[in-house]
Amino acid sequence: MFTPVLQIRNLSKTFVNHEKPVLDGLNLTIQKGEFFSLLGPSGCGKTTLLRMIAGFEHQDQGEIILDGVPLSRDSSPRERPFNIVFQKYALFPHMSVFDNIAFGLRAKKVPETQVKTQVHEMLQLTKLVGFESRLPTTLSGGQAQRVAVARALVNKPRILLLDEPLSALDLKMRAHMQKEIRDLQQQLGLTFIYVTHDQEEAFALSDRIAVMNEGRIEQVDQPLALYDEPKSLFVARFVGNITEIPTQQITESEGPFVQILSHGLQLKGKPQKIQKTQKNAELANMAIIRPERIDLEIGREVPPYYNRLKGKVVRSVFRGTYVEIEIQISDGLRLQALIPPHEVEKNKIKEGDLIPLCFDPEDTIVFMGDQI
Amino acid sequence: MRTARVGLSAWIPLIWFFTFLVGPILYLVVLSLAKKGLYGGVDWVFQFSNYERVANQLYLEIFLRSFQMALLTTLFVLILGVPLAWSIATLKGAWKKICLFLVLAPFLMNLVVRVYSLKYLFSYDGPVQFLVRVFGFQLDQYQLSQNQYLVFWGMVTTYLPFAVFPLLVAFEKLNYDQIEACEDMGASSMMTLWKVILPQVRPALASGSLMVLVPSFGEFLIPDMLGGAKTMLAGNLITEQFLKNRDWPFGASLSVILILLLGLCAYFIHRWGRIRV
Repeated sequence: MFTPVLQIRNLSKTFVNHEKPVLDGLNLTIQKGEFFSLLGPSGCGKTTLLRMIAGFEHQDQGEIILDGVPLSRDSSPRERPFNIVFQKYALFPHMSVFDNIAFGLRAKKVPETQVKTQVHEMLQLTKLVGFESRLPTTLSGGQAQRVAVARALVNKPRILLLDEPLSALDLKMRAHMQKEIRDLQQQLGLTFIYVTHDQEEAFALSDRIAVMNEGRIEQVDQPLALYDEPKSLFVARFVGNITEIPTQQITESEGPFVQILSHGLQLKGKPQKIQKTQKNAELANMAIIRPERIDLEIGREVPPYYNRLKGKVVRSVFRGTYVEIEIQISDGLRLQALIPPHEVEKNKIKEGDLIPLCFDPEDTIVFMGDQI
Repeated sequence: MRTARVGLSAWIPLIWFFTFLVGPILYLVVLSLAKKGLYGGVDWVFQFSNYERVANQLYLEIFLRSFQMALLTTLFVLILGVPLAWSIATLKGAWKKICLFLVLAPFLMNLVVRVYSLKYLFSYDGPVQFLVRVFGFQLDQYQLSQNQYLVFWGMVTTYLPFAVFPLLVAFEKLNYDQIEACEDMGASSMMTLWKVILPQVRPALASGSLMVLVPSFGEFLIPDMLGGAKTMLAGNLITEQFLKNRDWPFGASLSVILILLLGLCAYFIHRWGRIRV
């Protein structure tokens, strides 16, 4: 059902004068027509990977395969059927919107009559009709963004590459442009590869997300799977909020769960095996729980296998849709929970109170090294 | 209060402009229509004979030669200045500061001293000719000094910084993503240069050229010191009328013509340098 359009095999690159590789044996398969995001903190190699696909950087090792045919390592961006939307748009300030969009066609010596019709198609697609004679400096951020997308799309790329294209916009405009970009992608059925460090943006847009860290892929998954079943502590930490529970002892338990001992507490959790290397040794034997998965036990039918805790409220902050509560469970363990305001109201919870909490072991993920 | 201040601040530059630029030029025009006095003074007799004298082939040749020299200087300054400005623009941190200082360094020294040192460098007693002799070459000492090539070189080195600065600013403002965008859209290097880079640096090329062409057209110090008696340029011709021949009205008419020619050059360069859409 899915056909791979782009395959990345064992891609490695070390910049001159750098000790660490930017890309470290990276593998990835991107399906035709999917919205694929590369997500990671700055310096994780996501932009380098995108630039390497576009042809601006060249790998030391590995292959980039398009439709089953490896791209020549040294082929330039001119020869590759991809187009990129730059982070700061890189529009030509001395050219009108029309000329900006027409640039790629004119570079390919397309007859001027065809240029006109194709540019007009793009203007319609990106809702820029009426702006064709404007200069980029007279456009708003969102409009400039649309010109940048139109200028890339007019070349009919096999894949559209986007390098943090919304980072220059304010919050509201960004949310609006996210919808537009997603709609555009659905409408065209084109493969998009989207680089971002903003996990919410990646969630809102993507069919699948690759979380990158130090030149490697940590996990490739659909947004929900990434959130609910992080395969590594790095992914759990990077995507959404978590409370980390260091465990002193892990024992097998009945069913799908393991029993953990943390600061004298007995808890159950879902085991997640991780490859224990020297680098992530301290990450093993850590359990995590997301704050919104912790509930107040009061007035609730709690299944018997649930984890139950009692703790003292240290801090309570009203955030509008929820109340962020910090609970001291024991000396070394403090949990964060997001409780609906009406529950806080009803039970008159305030700082200093001792409150009972519960959460599903299914939501408690225990990262374990290979040895047990 | 507020309007009064705005009014005043608008008047000050106007007063300056008329007192120190328009006024002297008008005086020059009036002077050019007067007559040389018997003892080197000015007879205020209205007449056109000074302009008739300019139409002499000798003087026209001097103007033409000056214009050629100025054009050639501008061209060479751009040939040297564009790569220099580009490379400085791409530098970062301390190296950039050092290079900027080196471009500015000549201004720390008086022009006369700089030109004199260039004169000495290539003179018969200077190190260059000394080395030539040491290596056993015999040559006429004026092949290396006191000629128009040295005048040309003196002008190029003197005016180079004037062009480098506007170009540097333009190159720094240039967004390198745009060049990558060109490549991404399949544009050739030539198309990138002509359609994307040149239109954006054209105003800087124009102002840089103007900063070189205008002063080098009227230059008199450099040809005087480096050219010996052989290289007479428009600037020297004018200086001579004012100082040696004591013929102020004729000098003034030559100046007026030089100003008109410069104005014409400035107009065309400015027109070329406008940002076009």
